[in-house]
Order: sequence, then C-alpha cells, then structure tokens
Amino acid sequence: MSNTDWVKVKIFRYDPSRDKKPRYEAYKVPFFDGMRVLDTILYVTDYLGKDISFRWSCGSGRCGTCAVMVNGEPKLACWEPAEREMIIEPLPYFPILKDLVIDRSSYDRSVLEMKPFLQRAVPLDKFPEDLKHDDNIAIIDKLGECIHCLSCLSACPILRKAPLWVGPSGLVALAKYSTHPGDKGDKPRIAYSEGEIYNCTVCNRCKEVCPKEIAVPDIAIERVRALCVERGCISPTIGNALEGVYKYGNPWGLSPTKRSDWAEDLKVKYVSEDESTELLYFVGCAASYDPRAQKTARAMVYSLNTLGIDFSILGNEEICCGNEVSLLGEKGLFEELTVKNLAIFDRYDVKNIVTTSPHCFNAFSNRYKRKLQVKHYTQYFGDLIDSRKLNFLSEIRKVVTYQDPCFLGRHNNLYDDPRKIINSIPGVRFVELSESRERSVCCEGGGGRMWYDVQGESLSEARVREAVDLGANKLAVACPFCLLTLDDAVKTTNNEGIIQVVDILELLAQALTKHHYSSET
Amino acid sequence: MIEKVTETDVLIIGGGVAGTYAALEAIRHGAQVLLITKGLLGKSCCSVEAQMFLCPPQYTPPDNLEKHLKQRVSSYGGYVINQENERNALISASEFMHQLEELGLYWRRYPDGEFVRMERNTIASKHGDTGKNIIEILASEFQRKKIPLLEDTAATRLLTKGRSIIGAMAINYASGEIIALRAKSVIIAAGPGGWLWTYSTAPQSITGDGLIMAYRAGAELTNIEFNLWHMSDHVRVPGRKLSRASFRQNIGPSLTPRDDKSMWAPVWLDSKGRRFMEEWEKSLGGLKHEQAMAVISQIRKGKATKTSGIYASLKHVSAEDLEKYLSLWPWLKKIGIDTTKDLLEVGMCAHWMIGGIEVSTKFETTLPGLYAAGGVTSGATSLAECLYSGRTAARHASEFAKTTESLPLDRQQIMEEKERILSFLQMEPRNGFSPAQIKRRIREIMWEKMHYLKNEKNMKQALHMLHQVRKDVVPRMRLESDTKRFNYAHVEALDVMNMLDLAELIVKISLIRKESRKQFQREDYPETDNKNWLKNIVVKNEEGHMKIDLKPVRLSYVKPDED
Repeated sequence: MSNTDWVKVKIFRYDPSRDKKPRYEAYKVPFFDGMRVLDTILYVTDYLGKDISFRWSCGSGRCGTCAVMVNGEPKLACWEPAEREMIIEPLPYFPILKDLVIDRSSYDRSVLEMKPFLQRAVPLDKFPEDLKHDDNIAIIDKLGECIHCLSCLSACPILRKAPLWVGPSGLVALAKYSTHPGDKGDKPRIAYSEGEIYNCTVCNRCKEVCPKEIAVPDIAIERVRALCVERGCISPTIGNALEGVYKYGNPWGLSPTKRSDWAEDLKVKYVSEDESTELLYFVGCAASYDPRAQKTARAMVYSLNTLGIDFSILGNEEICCGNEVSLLGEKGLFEELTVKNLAIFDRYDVKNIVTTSPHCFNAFSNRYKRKLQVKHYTQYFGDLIDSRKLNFLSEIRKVVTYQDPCFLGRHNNLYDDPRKIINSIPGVRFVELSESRERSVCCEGGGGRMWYDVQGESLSEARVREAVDLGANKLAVACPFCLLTLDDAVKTTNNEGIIQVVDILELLAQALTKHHYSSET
Repeated sequence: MIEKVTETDVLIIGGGVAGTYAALEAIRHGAQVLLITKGLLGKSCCSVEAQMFLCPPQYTPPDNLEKHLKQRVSSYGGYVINQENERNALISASEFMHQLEELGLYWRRYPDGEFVRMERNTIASKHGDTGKNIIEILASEFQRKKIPLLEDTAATRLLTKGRSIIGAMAINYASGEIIALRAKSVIIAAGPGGWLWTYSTAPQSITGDGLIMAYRAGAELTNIEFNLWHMSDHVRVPGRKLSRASFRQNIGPSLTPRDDKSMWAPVWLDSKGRRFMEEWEKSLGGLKHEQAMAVISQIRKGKATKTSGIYASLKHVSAEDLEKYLSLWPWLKKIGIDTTKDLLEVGMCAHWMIGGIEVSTKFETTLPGLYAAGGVTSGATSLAECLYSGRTAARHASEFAKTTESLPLDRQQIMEEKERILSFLQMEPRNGFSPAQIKRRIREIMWEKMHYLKNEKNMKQALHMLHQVRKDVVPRMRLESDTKRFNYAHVEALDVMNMLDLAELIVKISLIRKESRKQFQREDYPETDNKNWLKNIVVKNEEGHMKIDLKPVRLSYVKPDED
C-alpha cells in the first residue's frame, strides 16, 4: 500500500501502578475515508489486539467520555476525523488511571457544587409548565447539549494556573438552569464563589474546541455574570472598574478631562460638528490613559500622519466602548454606553472608525445595535499593504514573534493581517509561538481580568518565556491589554533587555521612518 | 481473600434511566441503596442514546391508548410482549413527563407553546437527545441525594441462597478490587445485549451481562429471539466506507417537525435512485418490520448489502428546520454533508432486544429477591418503559427488603467467582488473542449469521462458529498486562464469556421458533403461524441444563386481527 493509505498513530501508554514513566507506542492503521479518531484507536484494540485502556461508550457524541488529546488539541474521538499522523494522549489536569483514561471524579464533584439542577421554590403543580420556545428557552436548550466531555477544560488556559477550577463546562451546567423561569436558587452567588466565574477571560478557546459548538462565553459566562451584577455578586475591584466607567467613562476612574493628554503635543485633528468625519481614530481607554499604551496611540498618529491620511480623534469626548462592561455582565451600563457612543458618532457624522484595541473593534462590529464601519488598525494597514500604499524606509533587524489577541483572533477570525504587517517590514524575521492563531493562549487581560487577578504564574509569563526560548527579540502585540500584561511579565520574569514587548503600531511607525523612531517625536 | 463486602438493602446493577430512577424511587421508600454501574453513571448506558419519548395518550386523540398499545404490541414482536406492563407504561408516561419537567427537563415546544410531537406517538425533549437529557437530570438528582454509587464496577455473578438472590459479585476495574455485595433485594437494570452484533445502536458496554447473569442464577428469560432492528443508522456519505464502529445517528429517515406543526418526511431511495418503500416513509424512526423487509428485499435482489446501497434523501427538507429541530445537524455539518445536495447512505443495525428477563407486573423475576428493569427485561424498552419498570421494580424491591432478613453470603460461591474472575488475569500465551479481538469475532458471527433474516443453515453455522470460538480461541485469550489498575481488558475477558453464552442461547432459542413474526424472520418459515406459535419461548438454566418452556401468550388487551 502507498504511504497515504495509513494512519500513523502514537498512543500514550502508562500504568501508574507499575511504570516509572509514560511511553508512546507507535502503530500503523489502514486509513479509510470518513475515519474518526475513535476508529483508529479501536483498530489498535480490536484488530491489533493491544489492550489500550481507553474510555468510550456511545460512539455518537452523546456520552462525552471519549475525549483525548490529539496532537495537543482536545478532541472527542467519536466526533473528529482521524489525521494521518496523530499523537494521542489523555486529557491534561486530571490524574491518569491508565493509558488514555483519566480520573474525572474531582470534576464531577465540583460540577455538583454548581447546583446543576433546577431549584424550584414551589412544586410544579401544573403540567405542562407555561413555557414557549423563546430565545431564553432556546439558549437553555443549547446549553443542555453539553456532554461534559472536558474538551473545553483541557483547552482552557486558566486551568493551567488553576487546575481545580470547575471551568467552562462546569459553568455551562450552572448557567443552564440559571435563567429558567422556575429557578429560585442562589446560582449567581454560587457562580461568584464556588464557580469563580470572574476567572474567565472570555478568550473563546472553549467555544473553539467544543464538539457541540456551544458559545460558552456568550451564552453561559456573560448571561450568568449579568445575574451576578443584578445580585451584587461581583468582586470589589470589578465593581470599581464598572463604577469608573459609569462615572468617568473609563474603567480606571481617571478624569475625562485628561483623556487626550497623550495627544497634546501631536499634530492631530479633533472631530468637529462642522464637517463629517471620514476616519475616526477611536483610541480606547487603555491607550488614552496608560503611559505604556499611550505610546501605541502616538505611534498610530505618527503612522497615519506619515502616510498623509486624514483622520480625527474624539479627544476628551471619547468614552469607553463598553466591550468589557458587557462581558462583565453590566448590561444596563453597556446599553447606556452604546447609546452615548452612537450619539457621538452621529453628532460628528462619523463614516469610518479605526481602533487601537481589538476590544473596541469587537464592541463596535459585533455588539452595537447599528452596523458601524469599523476596522482594527491591523486590518486598516493590512489593506494599505495590499494596495501597495505603505513605503517602508527602514529595516528592523529583529526576530519578532506575535501574540494573537483573543478579540482579534478567535472572536473575529482575524489572524492574517497582523502577520502580514510584521512580515512586510524589511529586516524582520518572524517566528511563530508554538500555540498561535486559533490555539493562541490568552494574556489574561480580557473579559474583565484586567481588574481581577487569579493566583498563580500568569499565562503571560509563560508566553514571554516561550518567546525568549524561541530567540525572539520582540514580542509583538496588537492589543493594549496584551501589551500591558506581557510587558509586566517581561519584568516579573527578569527578561528586560532580552525581549521587548511592542505593539505592531510601534514597529510600523519605526519602519515608516528613515530615522530612529521615538514615541517622543 | 475478598477485599471488601458491602451491604445494602437494595442493590441496583446498572446506571441508565431504569437503574437511576429505581434508585431514586427506592430511597423514597426508605430503602438503603447501592448502585453499581459498568461505566460512568448515565454515560455508559443505552439511555444516553435514546432519541424520543412515548407520547402520553393525553396529548393524542382520546382513543389513542388502545390504538397506541395495539400499535406497539403488534409492531414489537407481533403480540409476544407483556401487554399489562406495556399498557401501564403508556398510562404513566404523562406522570413521568410532569415529574421530569418539574426537575427542569424541557420538552420541546412549538413557538406557541404546544409540545412538538413526531407522528402521533412520540414526543421529545430534543429530537435525538431526549434520553441524554433525561438521564442527565436523573443522574444529577441521584448525585444530589448522595446515593451510594460504585462506578467502573462490573457485576459478574448473582449470589444465591437456594433460589433466592442475596447479593452479587463485582469487579471495580479502576482499582482491581473484587467486591462481594450483600443485599436484601437486587434490581438488574444492566441493559440488553446490543453489542452482540457488529453494527448496533448500543454503547460498547452493553454485552448482555445482566441477562446472562440472571440466566446463570436460574431466572427465566423470554422472547430473546426477538431483536428490534434499526433501518437508518450508521450513516455516511455515499462513496465513503462505513466506519467500523460507525456513527449511529437516527438520521432517518426520520420525520422533521416544522413550525407550522406539519412534518417533513424523508425519502428512501434504492441504489438506482428510485423510491422503494413509499408507503412506509412516514413511519417513525425506521424501526418497522415492514421497513426492514423493504430493505431486506433490496439486499436479496443484490441491489444493496447489509451496510450499503440504501439511501435517504433530505433534499426537500429545509436546512433551517433540520437545524432548528434535529440534534444531528451539527454532525451533518461536521462530516460535510450538504443535505440539499448529498444523499445519506444508511445501514441497518441491531437496536434493542425485545426479549429479556421474564418479569411480572411487579417487575419481579422468577427468582425471589431479584427484580429487573429497563432494557434487560422482556418487552419493549423505550424511555417511558425504563422509567415505569425502574419505579415499579424499586417499589417492590424496597418492600421486599423491608420484610426480608439479610442473609449471609456463601463463601464457596464467593471463592469460586473470585477464582473465575482472576483466572482471566493472565498474560499467556503471548501470541494469543486479546478479549477485544474475540469480542469482535463474536459480533461478526452474529452479524453474518444472525442478521434480520435467519434460516436454519445459518443459525447452525452460527452455533458451530461460536462453539469453535469457545473451544479454540477462548483458551488462547490473554491480557497484555495483569495490572489491576483500569485493566478494562480484564472486564472484556468477562464480557467474552457473557457474550458467548448469550449468543449461543439466542441462536438456540431462535432455532426453536419455526415461523416468522415481525422482528423474528426466517427464510425457511416465512409465514406467521398464530395457531401454533402465539407463544413465548421461555428458557431457564436448571443445574447447568437449558430448560425450555413454551407458554401461550397472554393477550390481555389486544389481540391479532383475524386473518
């Protein structure tokens, strides 16, 4: 048979009661079209006669017991196609019973703590219950599709630092009954305490790997957080951030009159009611107030000016886009922000928007009731590269790697533009982090996590270490939250002087000038 | 020595809907319960794969109880099943719906609030996921009530005192512990034996353990020659080879509801693209004998095989409706089926066993102290019947436990069984066969020789082949490791013995019935013979000998139409 007719599979073998360490056994299995991961494993057991301990039952995506790691990615074996070369391992974070079988009892116990059942105040005396197939019930129904296969837990970055967390599917179980008309339980409190719902960075990794395509962040996390806000089950630091947005238009509670201080010495136009705004640069809270992130805003202005592009900013009239407010479940405040922002855009007849932050970009493109013409700056400059309008004047002789922001990548499927910009800069040697694009690891800055800490080594620190190991001099980002968290991680891992976290905007500004670019210019 | 003896009032073997519901009912009656399950609670059972629920008569026209009963009793086994139990389950269905809704189960409604029904006789929490939704709720209730549970624990033998059942032996294969369990009464809810056939809708653990354990202990089994088949599972895109442990999805032909409460009926096509069972297309689920025979006739004409050549078309069904109402939609997307263009090639497979352990209306078996519920019993075994039998068995098993003394276990029996279990924990001969390989062989024999359409020659060949496996292959059965830690192959070795015994028993009983009756079809006796064969074949083990009884069927409510 030719080479293509085989699946080469390496299976993790380990008997903790006898083996000092795990080993991998290699098998060749004949391939057939439509073959699944499960079929591969069963060939090894049923035909080759190898007693591989492997848990599976229904074989049709309903029992959720057959998930394994395939080439580092969690896969429900009965659901996913076999690949021509596979390394099959047990799911991480759980004790291994033998070979591919994990002990999931700790998970079952923590899910039970989520009270994943309907807590009625009074018995249902009337049947049928007065229910219609409305949006709420449809979501409850969708949440009910979860089979607790643990794929999401295995992919969730937070489990890396908090392996005992109940994780996405645990919160799905809680969320399922949380908005049931008959539920009179204390689910918001449980979500906040035992469920540690603010651990979630809303990075969308769980949704990416869910065999049932459950949009966990949207229909579980955000919905339950909304109940948490209603019942006051939020951490004080998150409360402060929300209050800051409410009172001052930014989560740090800084003075709105200082919002555009960063641009004082720059050549920049402010919106005016006298003319329409062809291109609005929406700076965002982080790039407006944080001294480090301000440099990206300055690089943006520099780049746009260098290219002779006409644009305006809102100055001190700019307020929070509301993305994180919405993710934190403060729906009322988010609503208010959308109304205010849309009114501002109307007042200045804004035609197009470009943002620094993927979070603002996400809010404007997906969460506002009205369709806005909005681009993230990587899309904007990516388009200019396509139309050959960028003229790079200097080289950057550096090894550069890139952290995909969740709200650009997994939330909006934008992976190529940032890479296009980096790769087009003369002199740059681009290297990929081992987990990139769809598998990128969140920096822990999203979903409100800028204002809420989870104990343990930060994921950003691991990212920085990997970037250093890759030999990168620069870790490029396209999001102010990534910039701040990774920048911190460079310091806490003592890698200052070895690697530098830069926003792609800063690389761009440098490459567009013949001289040394400085954010002070 | 036995590492552990555990005592309880009611021991429940099996963690599906019947077993879990029985446990909840038994504790309501004040009994102390221990449930053991071969895999994980609610995950290693057939229930998780069940798609629909019996529609209670209340939600169908007023005359429906008798009609529905007649339809079920005639369709499943052609009047051989226990009508009292069937009727009681139908009547109780609405109670279960109410109770499950109280626990949070959502029965699928149309936008105006009315229940979505498929045809007139079934209703769904979610078409395709109804069983999964029900068992999840029951398992969560079970856990919430902190009922003692042993998972990854396979029961291997019932323990007796005279004819009475006083406990069971089991192996927890996660730890390797062999356990003796002492109980005042035992409920077997271990499911049927679907895994006896290569293509089956059953989960891999459903190897007939409960049936054969009960048989070995002396309980009567009835109707085990009757097995329901499913016409439309194991779907694939034409041109792709059939997946071995192929994906079961009741794609249909299966009716798809629409917002206006009408139904999309799929279309069955032969290999030439012609409709060949038009009159049965609108029949639910592809379970009907008439549908099977239409498929079989295609196979006999050489136009189809057991696994190919039959197609379902959903081209006329709107993708929105499929997405809205059917749980199979993500799977169709996953394997890249565009239902507006692609045909689905479907295959027949073994579904549930109509026969099983003989039970009374109290779900007592013929052995004192032993009760049975769910797919392991004789009779149709849909979700409502699992709930009904689980509840009934639990009530009576709890009552029985109240009036019974816990009897000391027989050391001899325990030692024998322990020795038997440990005898499989061996790695010689090195070039022997793994249990999984032998299980595959047994399933292939049953698939080839004991398919829907049987004849004496094939059945005798099946017996011969099974005998050869027992004689030549089983002595060479060996494990890769004799570790006690999650050595699932060790349990599979026990499965091999269960499957062999049960398969032989099924073939032997099938040879006895010399007629064709609904899901029991013989080429050599193609006619239904109500005069001589309106009978139950009842089999029991009497001191190692198979004792057969032919008992006239009790036609308590409905009877066959006069021909």
